[in-house]
Amino acid sequence: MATTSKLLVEGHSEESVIPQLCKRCGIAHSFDIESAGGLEKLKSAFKTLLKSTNTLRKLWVIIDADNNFKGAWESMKYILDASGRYQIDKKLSLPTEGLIINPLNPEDLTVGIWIMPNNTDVGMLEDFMMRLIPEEDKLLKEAENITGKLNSQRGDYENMFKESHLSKARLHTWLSWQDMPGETLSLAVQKKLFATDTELCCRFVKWLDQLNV
Amino acid sequence: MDTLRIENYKNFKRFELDNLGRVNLFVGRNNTGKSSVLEALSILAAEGDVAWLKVILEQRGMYFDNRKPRTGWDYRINEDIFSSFFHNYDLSAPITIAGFRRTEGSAADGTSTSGVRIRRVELADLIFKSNTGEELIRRVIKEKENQPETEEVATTGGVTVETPSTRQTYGFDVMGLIPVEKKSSSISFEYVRTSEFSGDRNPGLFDKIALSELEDELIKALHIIDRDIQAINFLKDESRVLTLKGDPRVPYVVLRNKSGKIRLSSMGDGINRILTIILSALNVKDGILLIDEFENGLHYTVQEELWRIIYKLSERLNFQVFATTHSNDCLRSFLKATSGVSDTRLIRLEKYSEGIRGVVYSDADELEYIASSNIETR
Repeated sequence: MATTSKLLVEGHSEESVIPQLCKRCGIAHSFDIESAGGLEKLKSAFKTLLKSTNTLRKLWVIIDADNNFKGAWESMKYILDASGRYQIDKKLSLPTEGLIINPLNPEDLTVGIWIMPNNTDVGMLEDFMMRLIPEEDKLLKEAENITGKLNSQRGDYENMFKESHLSKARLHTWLSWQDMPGETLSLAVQKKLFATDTELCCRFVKWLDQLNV
Repeated sequence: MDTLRIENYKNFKRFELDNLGRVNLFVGRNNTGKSSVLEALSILAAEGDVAWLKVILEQRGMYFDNRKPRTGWDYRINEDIFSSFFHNYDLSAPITIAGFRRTEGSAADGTSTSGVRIRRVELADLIFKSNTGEELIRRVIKEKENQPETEEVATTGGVTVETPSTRQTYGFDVMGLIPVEKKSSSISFEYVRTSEFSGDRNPGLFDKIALSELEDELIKALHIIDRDIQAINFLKDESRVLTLKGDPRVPYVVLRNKSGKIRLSSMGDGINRILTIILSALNVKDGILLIDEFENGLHYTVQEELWRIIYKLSERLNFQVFATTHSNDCLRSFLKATSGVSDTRLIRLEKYSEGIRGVVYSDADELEYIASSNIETR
Protein backbone atom coordinates (compact mmCIF):
# COMPACT_ATOMS: atom_id res chain seq x y z
CA MET A 1 0.00 0.00 0.00
CA ALA A 2 1.42 3.33 -0.95
CA THR A 3 2.29 5.68 1.91
CA THR A 4 0.49 8.99 1.99
CA SER A 5 1.38 10.10 5.53
CA LYS A 6 4.69 9.77 7.25
CA LEU A 7 6.04 10.70 10.67
CA LEU A 8 9.80 11.21 10.79
CA VAL A 9 11.45 10.87 14.22
CA GLU A 10 14.97 10.81 15.58
CA GLY A 11 15.10 7.41 17.19
CA HIS A 12 13.56 4.21 18.43
CA SER A 13 12.06 5.70 21.60
CA GLU A 14 9.72 7.93 19.62
CA GLU A 15 9.09 5.14 17.14
CA SER A 16 7.83 2.79 19.85
CA VAL A 17 6.04 5.30 22.08
CA ILE A 18 3.96 7.14 19.49
CA PRO A 19 1.74 4.22 18.46
CA GLN A 20 0.93 3.55 22.12
CA LEU A 21 0.18 7.19 22.76
CA CYS A 22 -2.19 7.18 19.82
CA LYS A 23 -4.02 4.19 21.20
CA ARG A 24 -4.19 5.64 24.70
CA CYS A 25 -5.51 8.96 23.46
CA GLY A 26 -8.02 7.43 21.12
CA ILE A 27 -6.66 8.72 17.83
CA ALA A 28 -5.94 6.73 14.69
CA HIS A 29 -2.46 5.59 13.69
CA SER A 30 -2.82 5.55 9.95
CA PHE A 31 0.63 6.94 9.16
CA ASP A 32 4.05 5.40 8.60
CA ILE A 33 6.67 6.05 11.30
CA GLU A 34 10.27 6.31 10.20
CA SER A 35 13.12 6.47 12.68
CA ALA A 36 16.07 8.26 11.11
CA GLY A 37 18.81 7.16 13.48
CA GLY A 38 19.90 10.50 14.89
CA LEU A 39 19.43 14.19 14.21
CA GLU A 40 21.88 14.50 11.31
CA LYS A 41 20.33 11.56 9.49
CA LEU A 42 16.89 12.99 10.17
CA LYS A 43 17.90 16.25 8.51
CA SER A 44 19.13 14.36 5.42
CA ALA A 45 15.96 12.33 5.29
CA PHE A 46 13.78 15.44 5.74
CA LYS A 47 15.61 17.35 3.03
CA THR A 48 15.40 14.43 0.60
CA LEU A 49 11.75 13.64 1.26
CA LEU A 50 10.75 17.24 0.58
CA LYS A 51 12.14 17.10 -2.94
CA SER A 52 9.72 14.67 -4.38
CA THR A 53 6.49 13.41 -3.06
CA ASN A 54 5.86 10.19 -4.91
CA THR A 55 2.67 9.10 -3.15
CA LEU A 56 3.35 11.06 0.05
CA ARG A 57 1.00 13.91 0.87
CA LYS A 58 1.90 14.79 4.47
CA LEU A 59 5.18 14.68 6.35
CA TRP A 60 5.29 15.35 10.10
CA VAL A 61 8.62 15.70 11.93
CA ILE A 62 9.44 15.45 15.65
CA ILE A 63 12.86 16.49 16.91
CA ASP A 64 14.31 17.25 20.35
CA ALA A 65 15.16 20.79 21.33
CA ASP A 66 18.08 19.34 23.34
CA ASN A 67 19.81 22.29 24.97
CA ASN A 68 19.15 24.83 22.22
CA PHE A 69 15.53 25.32 21.23
CA LYS A 70 16.22 28.27 18.94
CA GLY A 71 18.93 26.35 17.06
CA ALA A 72 16.65 23.38 16.56
CA TRP A 73 13.83 25.57 15.21
CA GLU A 74 16.17 27.53 12.94
CA SER A 75 17.56 24.32 11.45
CA MET A 76 14.06 23.08 10.61
CA LYS A 77 13.13 26.43 9.10
CA TYR A 78 16.29 26.37 7.05
CA ILE A 79 15.47 23.01 5.50
CA LEU A 80 11.95 24.16 4.63
CA ASP A 81 13.20 27.40 3.19
CA ALA A 82 16.01 25.78 1.20
CA SER A 83 13.57 23.45 -0.51
CA GLY A 84 11.99 26.46 -2.17
CA ARG A 85 8.53 25.00 -1.75
CA TYR A 86 7.32 26.91 1.28
CA GLN A 87 6.78 30.52 2.16
CA ILE A 88 9.11 30.87 5.15
CA ASP A 89 9.34 34.24 6.81
CA LYS A 90 12.59 34.86 8.68
CA LYS A 91 10.59 35.93 11.71
CA LEU A 92 8.35 32.84 11.69
CA SER A 93 8.18 31.35 15.17
CA LEU A 94 7.04 27.91 16.13
CA PRO A 95 3.44 27.93 17.37
CA THR A 96 3.01 26.24 20.75
CA GLU A 97 0.51 23.87 19.22
CA GLY A 98 3.12 22.72 16.68
CA LEU A 99 3.67 23.87 13.12
CA ILE A 100 1.56 22.78 10.16
CA ILE A 101 2.46 24.40 6.87
CA ASN A 102 1.05 24.00 3.39
CA PRO A 103 3.28 24.09 0.31
CA LEU A 104 3.18 26.83 -2.32
CA ASN A 105 2.32 24.20 -4.93
CA PRO A 106 -0.59 22.07 -3.70
CA GLU A 107 1.02 18.98 -5.16
CA ASP A 108 3.99 19.20 -2.80
CA LEU A 109 4.01 17.98 0.80
CA THR A 110 2.14 19.46 3.73
CA VAL A 111 4.63 19.55 6.62
CA GLY A 112 4.18 19.41 10.39
CA ILE A 113 6.90 20.14 12.96
CA TRP A 114 6.96 19.52 16.71
CA ILE A 115 9.98 20.22 18.87
CA MET A 116 10.09 18.19 22.08
CA PRO A 117 9.11 18.72 24.76
CA ASN A 118 6.63 21.53 24.12
CA ASN A 119 7.73 23.76 21.23
CA THR A 120 9.20 26.27 23.65
CA ASP A 121 11.62 24.80 26.20
CA VAL A 122 14.88 22.92 25.97
CA GLY A 123 14.64 19.19 26.45
CA MET A 124 13.71 15.97 24.72
CA LEU A 125 11.04 13.29 24.49
CA GLU A 126 11.78 12.16 28.03
CA ASP A 127 10.98 15.64 29.38
CA PHE A 128 7.68 15.52 27.56
CA MET A 129 6.90 12.13 29.13
CA MET A 130 7.86 13.34 32.61
CA ARG A 131 5.40 16.20 32.35
CA LEU A 132 2.74 13.55 31.94
CA ILE A 133 3.53 12.04 35.31
CA PRO A 134 1.19 13.41 38.01
CA GLU A 135 2.61 16.22 40.19
CA GLU A 136 2.24 14.26 43.38
CA ASP A 137 4.27 11.28 42.21
CA LYS A 138 6.82 10.72 44.98
CA LEU A 139 8.92 8.22 43.05
CA LEU A 140 9.55 10.81 40.37
CA LYS A 141 10.77 13.26 43.01
CA GLU A 142 13.10 10.58 44.36
CA ALA A 143 14.38 9.86 40.88
CA GLU A 144 15.05 13.56 40.32
CA ASN A 145 16.89 13.87 43.62
CA ILE A 146 19.11 10.90 43.08
CA THR A 147 20.03 11.60 39.50
CA GLY A 148 20.63 15.23 40.40
CA LYS A 149 22.98 14.20 43.21
CA LEU A 150 24.89 11.78 40.99
CA ASN A 151 25.14 14.37 38.27
CA SER A 152 26.72 16.89 40.61
CA GLN A 153 29.34 14.31 41.64
CA ARG A 154 30.22 13.22 38.14
CA GLY A 155 33.86 12.88 38.87
CA ASP A 156 33.29 10.04 41.35
CA TYR A 157 31.71 7.69 38.87
CA GLU A 158 32.91 6.08 35.71
CA ASN A 159 30.88 5.53 32.61
CA MET A 160 27.94 7.56 33.87
CA PHE A 161 25.19 9.07 31.73
CA LYS A 162 26.12 12.27 29.90
CA GLU A 163 24.85 15.46 31.49
CA SER A 164 22.81 16.16 28.39
CA HIS A 165 20.99 12.90 29.01
CA LEU A 166 19.93 13.75 32.55
CA SER A 167 16.27 13.59 31.60
CA LYS A 168 16.68 10.12 30.14
CA ALA A 169 18.35 8.96 33.31
CA ARG A 170 15.55 10.42 35.42
CA LEU A 171 12.73 8.94 33.43
CA HIS A 172 14.22 5.49 33.16
CA THR A 173 15.13 5.48 36.85
CA TRP A 174 11.50 6.22 37.67
CA LEU A 175 10.39 3.52 35.23
CA SER A 176 12.66 0.96 36.83
CA TRP A 177 10.94 1.55 40.16
CA GLN A 178 7.41 0.95 38.90
CA ASP A 179 5.57 -2.27 39.48
CA MET A 180 7.25 -4.60 37.05
CA PRO A 181 10.60 -2.86 36.93
CA GLY A 182 12.57 -2.82 33.70
CA GLU A 183 9.66 -2.47 31.32
CA THR A 184 9.88 -0.33 28.25
CA LEU A 185 8.58 3.19 27.87
CA SER A 186 5.96 2.16 25.37
CA LEU A 187 4.67 -0.58 27.62
CA ALA A 188 4.45 1.95 30.41
CA VAL A 189 2.27 4.11 28.20
CA GLN A 190 0.08 1.13 27.52
CA LYS A 191 -0.27 0.44 31.22
CA LYS A 192 -1.53 3.96 31.75
CA LEU A 193 1.35 5.14 33.89
CA PHE A 194 1.21 8.50 32.16
CA ALA A 195 -1.60 11.03 32.40
CA THR A 196 -2.65 11.53 28.84
CA ASP A 197 -5.33 14.05 29.65
CA THR A 198 -2.86 16.82 30.49
CA GLU A 199 -2.96 19.97 28.45
CA LEU A 200 0.44 19.25 26.90
CA CYS A 201 -0.46 15.74 25.85
CA CYS A 202 -3.78 16.85 24.39
CA ARG A 203 -2.04 19.61 22.49
CA PHE A 204 0.49 17.14 21.08
CA VAL A 205 -2.10 14.58 20.13
CA LYS A 206 -4.20 17.21 18.39
CA TRP A 207 -1.17 18.15 16.25
CA LEU A 208 -0.37 14.52 15.55
CA ASP A 209 -3.93 13.61 14.63
CA GLN A 210 -3.83 15.98 11.68
CA LEU A 211 -1.32 13.65 10.09
CA ASN A 212 -3.95 10.95 9.88
CA VAL A 213 -5.71 10.70 6.55
CA MET B 1 25.65 18.52 -20.86
CA ASP B 2 24.41 20.05 -17.63
CA THR B 3 20.87 20.84 -18.66
CA LEU B 4 18.39 19.07 -20.89
CA ARG B 5 15.29 20.78 -22.19
CA ILE B 6 12.48 18.98 -23.99
CA GLU B 7 9.37 20.60 -25.44
CA ASN B 8 6.44 18.85 -27.06
CA TYR B 9 8.07 15.46 -27.39
CA LYS B 10 5.70 12.60 -26.54
CA ASN B 11 4.55 12.95 -22.93
CA PHE B 12 6.72 16.02 -22.30
CA LYS B 13 5.08 19.37 -22.87
CA ARG B 14 7.67 21.54 -21.13
CA PHE B 15 10.39 19.61 -19.32
CA GLU B 16 13.73 20.67 -18.01
CA LEU B 17 16.42 18.83 -16.10
CA ASP B 18 19.16 20.83 -14.52
CA ASN B 19 22.35 19.76 -12.77
CA LEU B 20 22.91 16.57 -14.77
CA GLY B 21 25.89 14.45 -13.87
CA ARG B 22 28.35 12.18 -15.61
CA VAL B 23 26.25 9.09 -14.85
CA ASN B 24 22.50 9.59 -14.46
CA LEU B 25 19.98 6.95 -13.42
CA PHE B 26 16.28 7.55 -14.03
CA VAL B 27 13.62 5.99 -11.84
CA GLY B 28 9.89 6.53 -11.67
CA ARG B 29 6.60 4.77 -12.06
CA ASN B 30 5.57 3.22 -15.32
CA ASN B 31 4.39 5.74 -17.85
CA THR B 32 6.36 8.66 -16.48
CA GLY B 33 8.43 8.75 -19.65
CA LYS B 34 11.75 7.23 -18.63
CA SER B 35 12.28 5.59 -22.03
CA SER B 36 11.06 8.72 -23.79
CA VAL B 37 13.82 10.75 -22.17
CA LEU B 38 16.38 8.32 -23.55
CA GLU B 39 14.74 8.53 -26.98
CA ALA B 40 14.85 12.32 -26.87
CA LEU B 41 18.54 12.21 -25.93
CA SER B 42 19.24 9.86 -28.83
CA ILE B 43 17.45 12.22 -31.22
CA LEU B 44 19.55 15.07 -29.87
CA ALA B 45 22.77 13.09 -30.36
CA ALA B 46 21.69 12.00 -33.85
CA GLU B 47 21.03 15.67 -34.68
CA GLY B 48 17.45 14.80 -35.51
CA ASP B 49 18.45 12.59 -38.43
CA VAL B 50 15.22 11.26 -39.97
CA ALA B 51 16.86 7.90 -40.66
CA TRP B 52 17.34 7.56 -36.89
CA LEU B 53 13.76 8.68 -36.24
CA LYS B 54 12.72 5.79 -38.45
CA VAL B 55 14.80 3.40 -36.32
CA ILE B 56 12.88 4.60 -33.26
CA LEU B 57 9.56 4.10 -35.00
CA GLU B 58 10.47 0.65 -36.24
CA GLN B 59 11.43 -0.40 -32.71
CA ARG B 60 7.85 0.42 -31.78
CA GLY B 61 6.59 -1.56 -34.73
CA MET B 62 5.62 1.42 -36.86
CA TYR B 63 6.51 1.57 -40.54
CA PHE B 64 5.97 4.28 -43.10
CA ASP B 65 4.00 3.45 -46.20
CA ASN B 66 6.37 3.60 -49.13
CA ARG B 67 4.07 2.56 -51.90
CA LYS B 68 3.68 4.90 -54.81
CA PRO B 69 0.73 7.24 -54.47
CA ARG B 70 -2.42 5.71 -55.89
CA THR B 71 -6.09 5.69 -55.18
CA GLY B 72 -6.67 5.46 -51.48
CA TRP B 73 -3.09 6.30 -50.55
CA ASP B 74 -2.68 9.62 -48.88
CA TYR B 75 0.44 11.16 -47.39
CA ARG B 76 -1.60 11.56 -44.24
CA ILE B 77 -1.04 7.88 -43.44
CA ASN B 78 2.63 8.66 -42.92
CA GLU B 79 1.80 11.95 -41.24
CA ASP B 80 -0.24 10.11 -38.62
CA ILE B 81 2.64 7.78 -37.93
CA PHE B 82 5.06 10.67 -37.61
CA SER B 83 2.69 12.52 -35.30
CA SER B 84 3.36 9.90 -32.64
CA PHE B 85 6.52 11.88 -31.83
CA PHE B 86 4.53 14.99 -30.97
CA HIS B 87 2.97 15.80 -27.59
CA ASN B 88 -0.73 14.85 -27.76
CA TYR B 89 -0.13 14.04 -31.45
CA ASP B 90 -0.41 17.78 -32.05
CA LEU B 91 1.69 18.60 -35.10
CA SER B 92 1.17 22.33 -34.70
CA ALA B 93 3.56 22.56 -31.74
CA PRO B 94 7.19 22.02 -32.80
CA ILE B 95 9.39 19.59 -30.92
CA THR B 96 12.49 21.06 -29.32
CA ILE B 97 15.24 19.04 -27.69
CA ALA B 98 18.25 20.97 -26.46
CA GLY B 99 21.30 20.32 -24.32
CA PHE B 100 23.18 23.05 -22.49
CA ARG B 101 26.53 23.08 -20.82
CA ARG B 102 27.02 25.50 -17.98
CA THR B 103 29.90 27.84 -18.71
CA GLU B 104 32.18 28.71 -15.83
CA GLY B 105 30.77 31.37 -13.57
CA SER B 106 27.47 31.89 -15.32
CA ALA B 107 24.35 31.47 -13.27
CA ALA B 108 21.87 31.49 -16.13
CA ASP B 109 21.98 29.37 -19.27
CA GLY B 110 25.38 28.57 -20.57
CA THR B 111 25.96 28.34 -24.29
CA SER B 112 23.69 25.85 -25.95
CA THR B 113 25.85 22.99 -27.08
CA SER B 114 23.31 21.20 -29.21
CA GLY B 115 19.69 21.37 -30.17
CA VAL B 116 17.13 19.85 -32.50
CA ARG B 117 13.88 21.38 -33.67
CA ILE B 118 11.30 19.32 -35.54
CA ARG B 119 8.50 21.20 -37.24
CA ARG B 120 5.60 20.12 -39.40
CA VAL B 121 5.55 22.16 -42.58
CA GLU B 122 3.54 22.53 -45.76
CA LEU B 123 5.56 21.76 -48.88
CA ALA B 124 4.82 22.90 -52.41
CA ASP B 125 6.15 21.45 -55.65
CA LEU B 126 6.81 24.37 -57.95
CA ILE B 127 7.69 24.48 -61.62
CA PHE B 128 10.77 26.52 -62.51
CA LYS B 129 12.09 27.20 -65.92
CA SER B 130 15.84 26.57 -65.99
CA ASN B 131 18.35 28.59 -68.02
CA THR B 132 18.16 26.06 -70.83
CA GLY B 133 14.40 26.31 -70.97
CA GLU B 134 13.75 23.00 -69.25
CA GLU B 135 10.93 22.74 -66.85
CA LEU B 136 12.10 21.63 -63.41
CA ILE B 137 10.09 20.81 -60.36
CA ARG B 138 11.43 22.02 -57.06
CA ARG B 139 9.98 21.34 -53.68
CA VAL B 140 9.96 24.25 -51.24
CA ILE B 141 8.62 24.95 -47.81
CA LYS B 142 5.56 27.17 -47.87
CA GLU B 143 6.36 29.89 -45.38
CA LYS B 144 4.10 32.77 -44.47
CA GLU B 145 5.64 35.16 -46.99
CA ASN B 146 4.52 34.83 -50.57
CA GLN B 147 6.40 32.56 -52.87
CA PRO B 148 7.61 34.01 -56.15
CA GLU B 149 5.06 33.69 -58.91
CA THR B 150 5.54 30.19 -60.19
CA GLU B 151 3.21 27.39 -60.97
CA GLU B 152 2.34 25.18 -58.11
CA VAL B 153 1.98 21.56 -59.14
CA ALA B 154 1.12 19.96 -55.84
CA THR B 155 1.31 20.45 -52.13
CA THR B 156 1.99 17.95 -49.43
CA GLY B 157 2.72 17.81 -45.74
CA GLY B 158 6.20 17.20 -44.40
CA VAL B 159 8.70 17.93 -41.68
CA THR B 160 11.75 20.01 -41.38
CA VAL B 161 14.43 19.09 -38.86
CA GLU B 162 16.80 21.86 -37.87
CA THR B 163 19.94 22.02 -35.78
CA PRO B 164 22.28 24.99 -35.40
CA SER B 165 24.24 23.72 -38.40
CA THR B 166 21.92 21.57 -40.50
CA ARG B 167 18.46 21.38 -41.95
CA GLN B 168 16.67 18.38 -43.42
CA THR B 169 13.28 18.62 -45.07
CA TYR B 170 11.16 15.68 -46.18
CA GLY B 171 7.64 15.32 -47.43
CA PHE B 172 5.53 12.64 -45.81
CA ASP B 173 5.14 11.09 -49.22
CA VAL B 174 8.81 10.15 -49.40
CA MET B 175 9.30 9.14 -45.77
CA GLY B 176 8.97 5.53 -46.71
CA LEU B 177 11.96 5.74 -49.00
CA ILE B 178 14.47 6.98 -46.47
CA PRO B 179 16.72 4.16 -45.22
CA VAL B 180 16.33 3.01 -41.64
CA GLU B 181 19.76 3.38 -40.17
CA LYS B 182 21.95 4.93 -37.55
CA LYS B 183 24.48 7.15 -39.22
CA SER B 184 27.49 8.52 -37.43
CA SER B 185 26.88 12.01 -36.13
CA SER B 186 29.06 14.57 -34.44
CA ILE B 187 27.94 13.31 -31.04
CA SER B 188 28.60 9.59 -30.88
CA PHE B 189 25.98 7.61 -29.05
CA GLU B 190 24.71 4.10 -28.50
CA TYR B 191 21.19 3.25 -27.37
CA VAL B 192 21.00 -0.08 -25.57
CA ARG B 193 17.35 -1.05 -25.50
CA THR B 194 15.40 -3.21 -23.12
CA SER B 195 15.33 -6.37 -25.11
CA GLU B 196 17.95 -8.67 -26.43
CA PHE B 197 17.79 -7.86 -30.11
CA SER B 198 19.98 -4.85 -29.55
CA GLY B 199 22.79 -7.40 -29.76
CA ASP B 200 22.58 -7.03 -33.54
CA ARG B 201 25.05 -4.21 -33.44
CA ASN B 202 27.64 -6.11 -31.45
CA PRO B 203 29.75 -7.54 -34.30
CA GLY B 204 30.13 -4.06 -35.81
CA LEU B 205 30.87 -2.48 -32.43
CA PHE B 206 33.46 -5.15 -31.75
CA ASP B 207 35.18 -4.49 -35.07
CA LYS B 208 35.74 -0.89 -34.07
CA ILE B 209 37.65 -1.77 -30.91
CA ALA B 210 39.25 -5.05 -31.94
CA LEU B 211 43.02 -5.20 -31.49
CA SER B 212 43.03 -1.94 -29.58
CA GLU B 213 43.67 -1.50 -25.88
CA LEU B 214 39.91 -1.17 -25.44
CA GLU B 215 39.63 -4.88 -26.19
CA ASP B 216 41.28 -5.44 -22.79
CA GLU B 217 38.48 -3.48 -21.15
CA LEU B 218 36.00 -5.81 -22.80
CA ILE B 219 37.72 -8.90 -21.41
CA LYS B 220 37.89 -7.34 -17.94
CA ALA B 221 34.15 -6.70 -18.02
CA LEU B 222 33.38 -10.25 -19.09
CA HIS B 223 35.29 -11.42 -16.02
CA ILE B 224 32.24 -10.36 -14.04
CA ILE B 225 30.65 -13.55 -15.32
CA ASP B 226 33.69 -15.78 -15.69
CA ARG B 227 37.22 -14.96 -14.59
CA ASP B 228 38.69 -17.50 -16.99
CA ILE B 229 37.79 -15.68 -20.17
CA GLN B 230 40.98 -14.77 -21.98
CA ALA B 231 39.90 -13.65 -25.42
CA ILE B 232 36.80 -12.99 -27.48
CA ASN B 233 36.04 -12.76 -31.16
CA PHE B 234 33.07 -12.67 -33.47
CA LEU B 235 33.01 -15.58 -35.90
CA LYS B 236 30.65 -17.03 -38.45
CA ASP B 237 28.53 -19.81 -37.11
CA GLU B 238 28.43 -22.34 -39.95
CA SER B 239 25.42 -24.13 -38.63
CA ARG B 240 23.30 -21.00 -38.64
CA VAL B 241 21.17 -20.19 -41.66
CA LEU B 242 22.44 -16.97 -43.17
CA THR B 243 19.96 -14.22 -42.40
CA LEU B 244 19.20 -11.65 -45.01
CA LYS B 245 19.72 -8.83 -42.60
CA GLY B 246 22.48 -8.19 -40.16
CA ASP B 247 25.88 -9.57 -39.44
CA PRO B 248 25.82 -13.36 -39.04
CA ARG B 249 28.84 -13.46 -36.73
CA VAL B 250 28.40 -14.55 -33.14
CA PRO B 251 30.70 -14.16 -30.14
CA TYR B 252 33.11 -16.89 -29.14
CA VAL B 253 35.49 -16.92 -26.21
CA VAL B 254 38.56 -18.80 -25.15
CA LEU B 255 38.89 -19.89 -21.54
CA ARG B 256 42.06 -20.40 -19.60
CA ASN B 257 42.92 -24.05 -19.11
CA LYS B 258 40.38 -25.16 -21.67
CA SER B 259 41.15 -25.87 -25.26
CA GLY B 260 38.87 -24.81 -28.08
CA LYS B 261 36.51 -21.93 -28.40
CA ILE B 262 33.14 -21.70 -26.70
CA ARG B 263 29.96 -19.90 -27.75
CA LEU B 264 29.50 -17.03 -25.36
CA SER B 265 25.76 -17.52 -25.28
CA SER B 266 26.26 -20.90 -23.65
CA MET B 267 27.92 -19.30 -20.66
CA GLY B 268 25.09 -18.21 -18.51
CA ASP B 269 22.53 -15.56 -17.87
CA GLY B 270 23.15 -12.05 -18.75
CA ILE B 271 26.51 -12.40 -20.43
CA ASN B 272 25.15 -11.25 -23.76
CA ARG B 273 23.59 -8.23 -22.09
CA ILE B 274 26.90 -7.36 -20.45
CA LEU B 275 28.61 -7.77 -23.81
CA THR B 276 26.14 -5.41 -25.49
CA ILE B 277 26.42 -2.80 -22.76
CA ILE B 278 30.21 -2.81 -22.67
CA LEU B 279 30.68 -2.85 -26.44
CA SER B 280 28.35 0.12 -26.63
CA ALA B 281 30.26 1.91 -23.89
CA LEU B 282 33.57 1.34 -25.62
CA ASN B 283 32.25 3.00 -28.76
CA VAL B 284 30.95 6.32 -27.45
CA LYS B 285 34.09 8.27 -26.62
CA ASP B 286 33.18 11.90 -25.88
CA GLY B 287 29.55 11.02 -26.49
CA ILE B 288 26.50 9.52 -24.80
CA LEU B 289 25.60 6.02 -23.61
CA LEU B 290 21.89 5.29 -23.23
CA ILE B 291 20.75 2.13 -21.43
CA ASP B 292 17.07 1.30 -21.02
CA GLU B 293 16.17 -0.97 -18.10
CA PHE B 294 19.72 -1.52 -16.96
CA GLU B 295 18.80 -4.53 -14.82
CA ASN B 296 17.36 -6.63 -17.67
CA GLY B 297 18.79 -10.11 -17.76
CA LEU B 298 21.24 -9.31 -14.96
CA HIS B 299 21.36 -10.87 -11.52
CA TYR B 300 21.73 -8.29 -8.78
CA THR B 301 25.15 -9.64 -7.85
CA VAL B 302 26.64 -8.58 -11.19
CA GLN B 303 24.93 -5.21 -11.38
CA GLU B 304 27.14 -3.47 -8.86
CA GLU B 305 30.33 -4.57 -10.58
CA LEU B 306 28.95 -3.59 -13.97
CA TRP B 307 28.07 -0.12 -12.68
CA ARG B 308 31.61 0.27 -11.38
CA ILE B 309 33.07 -0.64 -14.73
CA ILE B 310 30.74 1.71 -16.58
CA TYR B 311 31.58 4.57 -14.26
CA LYS B 312 35.30 4.01 -14.77
CA LEU B 313 34.89 3.79 -18.53
CA SER B 314 32.79 6.95 -18.57
CA GLU B 315 35.67 8.79 -16.91
CA ARG B 316 38.31 7.25 -19.10
CA LEU B 317 36.49 7.77 -22.40
CA ASN B 318 34.69 10.96 -21.37
CA PHE B 319 31.11 9.94 -22.12
CA GLN B 320 27.88 10.72 -20.30
CA VAL B 321 25.57 7.90 -19.22
CA PHE B 322 21.77 8.01 -19.02
CA ALA B 323 20.07 4.84 -17.83
CA THR B 324 16.65 3.81 -16.57
CA THR B 325 15.56 1.18 -14.10
CA HIS B 326 12.56 -0.02 -12.20
CA SER B 327 14.45 -2.36 -9.94
CA ASN B 328 15.27 -1.48 -6.36
CA ASP B 329 18.28 -3.81 -6.51
CA CYS B 330 19.61 -1.96 -9.51
CA LEU B 331 19.15 1.35 -7.72
CA ARG B 332 21.02 0.09 -4.68
CA SER B 333 23.81 -1.40 -6.78
CA PHE B 334 24.17 1.91 -8.58
CA LEU B 335 24.38 3.85 -5.31
CA LYS B 336 26.85 1.41 -3.78
CA ALA B 337 29.07 1.31 -6.83
CA THR B 338 29.19 5.08 -7.13
CA SER B 339 29.22 6.15 -3.50
CA GLY B 340 31.97 8.64 -2.80
CA VAL B 341 31.99 10.34 -6.20
CA SER B 342 30.17 13.58 -6.78
CA ASP B 343 29.19 13.39 -10.42
CA THR B 344 26.41 10.82 -10.35
CA ARG B 345 22.72 11.65 -10.21
CA LEU B 346 19.55 9.84 -9.35
CA ILE B 347 16.63 11.37 -11.22
CA ARG B 348 13.06 10.59 -10.35
CA LEU B 349 10.36 11.33 -12.91
CA GLU B 350 6.93 12.13 -11.51
CA LYS B 351 3.59 13.06 -12.97
CA TYR B 352 2.11 16.33 -11.82
CA SER B 353 -0.97 18.14 -13.04
CA GLU B 354 1.14 20.45 -15.25
CA GLY B 355 3.06 17.55 -16.71
CA ILE B 356 6.11 15.49 -15.89
CA ARG B 357 8.70 16.73 -13.45
CA GLY B 358 12.22 15.44 -12.92
CA VAL B 359 13.68 15.60 -9.40
CA VAL B 360 17.47 15.44 -9.38
CA TYR B 361 19.22 13.99 -6.33
CA SER B 362 22.89 14.82 -6.25
CA ASP B 363 24.10 15.31 -2.68
CA ALA B 364 25.86 12.44 -0.99
CA ASP B 365 23.57 12.51 2.03
CA GLU B 366 20.43 12.49 -0.14
CA LEU B 367 21.71 9.52 -2.12
CA GLU B 368 22.73 7.73 1.06
CA TYR B 369 19.26 8.19 2.51
CA ILE B 370 17.65 6.90 -0.67
CA ALA B 371 19.97 3.88 -0.71
CA SER B 372 19.03 2.90 2.82
CA SER B 373 15.33 3.58 2.60
CA ASN B 374 12.65 1.89 0.60
CA ILE B 375 11.83 4.63 -1.82
CA GLU B 376 9.59 3.19 -4.48
CA THR B 377 11.16 2.93 -7.85
CA ARG B 378 8.24 1.41 -9.71
